[in-house]
Amino acid sequence: MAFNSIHYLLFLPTIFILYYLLPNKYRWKLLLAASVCFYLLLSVKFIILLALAIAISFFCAIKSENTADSSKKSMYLHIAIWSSALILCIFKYYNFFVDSAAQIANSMGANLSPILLNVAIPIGISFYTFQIIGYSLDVYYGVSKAEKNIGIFSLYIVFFPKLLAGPIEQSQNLLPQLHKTQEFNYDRITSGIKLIAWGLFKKVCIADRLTFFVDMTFDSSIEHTGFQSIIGCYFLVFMIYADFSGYSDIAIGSARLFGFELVKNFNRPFTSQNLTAFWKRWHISLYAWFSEYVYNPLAFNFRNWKLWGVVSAILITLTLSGLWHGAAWTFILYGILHGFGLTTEYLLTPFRTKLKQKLPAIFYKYLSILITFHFFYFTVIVFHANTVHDAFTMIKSFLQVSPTQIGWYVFGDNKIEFILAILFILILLTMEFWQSKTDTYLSFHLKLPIAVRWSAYALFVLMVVYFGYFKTNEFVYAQF
Amino acid sequence: MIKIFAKILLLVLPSAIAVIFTIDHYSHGYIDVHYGKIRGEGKSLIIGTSRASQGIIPEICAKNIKYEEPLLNFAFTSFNSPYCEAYFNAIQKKMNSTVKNGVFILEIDPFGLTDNTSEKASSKLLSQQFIMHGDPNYEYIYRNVNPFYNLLVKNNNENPFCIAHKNGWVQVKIEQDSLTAIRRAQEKLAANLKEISYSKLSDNKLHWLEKTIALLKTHGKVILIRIPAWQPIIDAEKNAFPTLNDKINSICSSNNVPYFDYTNLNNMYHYIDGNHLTNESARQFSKELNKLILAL
Amino acid sequence: MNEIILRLTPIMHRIFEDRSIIVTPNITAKDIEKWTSMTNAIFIAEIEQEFGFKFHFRDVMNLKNIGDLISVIEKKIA
Repeated sequence: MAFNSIHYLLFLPTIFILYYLLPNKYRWKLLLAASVCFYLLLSVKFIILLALAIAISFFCAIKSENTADSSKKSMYLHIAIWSSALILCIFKYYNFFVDSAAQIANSMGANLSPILLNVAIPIGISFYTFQIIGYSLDVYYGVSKAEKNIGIFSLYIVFFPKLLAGPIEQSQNLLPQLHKTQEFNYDRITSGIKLIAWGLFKKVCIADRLTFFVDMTFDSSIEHTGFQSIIGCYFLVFMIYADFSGYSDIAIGSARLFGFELVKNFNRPFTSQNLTAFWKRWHISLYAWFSEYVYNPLAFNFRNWKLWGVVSAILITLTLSGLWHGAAWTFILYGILHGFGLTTEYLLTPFRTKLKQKLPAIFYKYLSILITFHFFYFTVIVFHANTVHDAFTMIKSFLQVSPTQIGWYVFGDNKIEFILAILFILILLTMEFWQSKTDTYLSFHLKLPIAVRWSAYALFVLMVVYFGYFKTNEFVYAQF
Repeated sequence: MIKIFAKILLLVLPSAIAVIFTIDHYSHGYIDVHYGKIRGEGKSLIIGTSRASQGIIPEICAKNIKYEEPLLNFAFTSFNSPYCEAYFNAIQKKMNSTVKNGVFILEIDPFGLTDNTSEKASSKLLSQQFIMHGDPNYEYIYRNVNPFYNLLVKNNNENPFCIAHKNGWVQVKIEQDSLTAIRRAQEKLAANLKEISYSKLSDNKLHWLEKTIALLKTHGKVILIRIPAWQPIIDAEKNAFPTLNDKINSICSSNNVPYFDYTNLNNMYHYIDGNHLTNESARQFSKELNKLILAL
Repeated sequence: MNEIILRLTPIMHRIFEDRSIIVTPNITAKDIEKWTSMTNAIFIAEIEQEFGFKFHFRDVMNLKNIGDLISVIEKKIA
């Protein structure tokens, strides 16, 4: 069920009530049952696959930890990783690679008709596979102890707030929490509810509103001006941000209701002054995973190549991270572009340092933010387009801007919606700016007088009820 | 815990009151093409796809009949109301359990009985709707006027292309002269042929048709009809689904309900787009149905 | 330990481009601006060259500060 559906609105409070009515020792079992039901409601047939992946990784981790023989340890690690990775590759990437290889071969004179699979991608597979691989590596390297309770381990993998689209939880964060007694904590629970409400606002008031303009922009059957395309692509950036960070907020808020703190997934990414900082603020859990389990080992193995070793590690890591998003050349190119962006940024460090010393600090800061944002802006066009060709066509259309096109209402009759879209984006950015001045997410408002706070809450609810889109649009990252 | 739920309720209450007030005062204009069917009351029903929705006028059809009234046109579109579980459940919710002598006209066409690529998306309108009564129908309006503030902004606007009557009849207002009609009919034929090419008769949908018949028989008289359409379109359908009439006849004889196929009278009527009767032809056809019902 | 610190210091000054770094066991990557995941790999390679041994990945993946690194180096050169 989608987080922005009435079903989730009924499901969550029900589990919440049962959770705190039950004695502590049954609570994790309730969450496990709820998570399994949550998955079954979306996909009955793939539960077996999920159960298999969990069972293999659970037993391999225990075996790996219990043996002193390093070759056996390695064997169990490989079984755990490759079994999960194989499932992921077959369901998600087989068709793409086989078809692409056939196209390349056919363009060189071959006459191949590839045998393709007719299977759907299991829901959540990209996320839970990565969790399983990360856990297996953590146990192998002694970073975490192997979990001895298969129920708790299963809950770690299938915990419903993060099951469909993350955050990707590393074992050191969530597993220990699942063993602890979670008491009813009013402040923590209300903080969770507020985060859910905020996430819902981002999804229904911003992301789903912007979808209309983005779809219009990318609809090749409609004629657009260059200016319309430019604005539409700005909306695309905020649509993806609002959608995914909104989802993450609802996931983190939901987990918080039960006493669990999931890892933060976004941290005001558009204030980043360079790409290195950006990748520590955007989809944090994914890039932490790639950094820990792909980049670090690669950089270590390539260390003798010094600078070029680092560059190679970055390029491979970012390309793979692009590919993680989906089996398409657009995603791969997205990753490659970011790989080149990061390496270029790194290689230009001396130049950037000199520039920083020469320019006024505030000018340098905002120039850096603008450049970083716009680099992301162009790569997101590639990310979102159906094909690489479509992406370049879109970008080329920016060159067709003329002064006559510039105006307030670039999307025809939808003036009110256009103004609302801009207004809600401004609200989002303002709230994030305000929040940055305090330490705790969304806690800045607690200092306001109670009457002001409650009026603001009531108005907020009214705003979501009146201006939200509630015809269920799936969350963008659920497709990964 | 009670304190938390009490606070949430307190916060949500002003919005709930505001929504109810808004719907009470601003929902009298056009909502959408289906709203009349959801909020309307009907002791007798017309069931089927858009051919029935646009082609049968309840008042004309039900004139002087001995069956319970009012007659409501509860036919939607082949996308929203093919014969399926969601439509069956919607009809069940719509039916007043006290009705014992209603009349139920079930329209048959291939698009209400075939599997196609949009199978999963179809009937979402009905499957998501819990409450099938009420004027205003708060649930329907909140769910379908999206975002909700549009009710304030677009209040009492009319749809330039159709009138959604309270009796459920959808009266299309676009040009119905012969030249535009022929052009549209040709376009519609091409579209239908394309749709037909990846469709096949659905055993599941035929099963739900039978269940619908069985349900409505407990409330009164059931008849099945096939509405006329432009001859080339009917020919294309009969070529693609040659067993359809036989299957319907078989279902009818095992359920002891009559079936009237009006497609042999295609040339007596005019069509907006080859698929749907013009307003005048809908009046004419509804009169024929009235004669049929009077004779039952 | 002091000897290792003495040998690490010029490497760190060079790799992290900061001659003001005073190497103590408690310092971490967060204390040095240019000690990033990018410069870290080069740093590791330079240490190996300086001290004449090879790290295993397991040796370096859990290091929290210079003190941990020094402990690993001491084991390697013992």
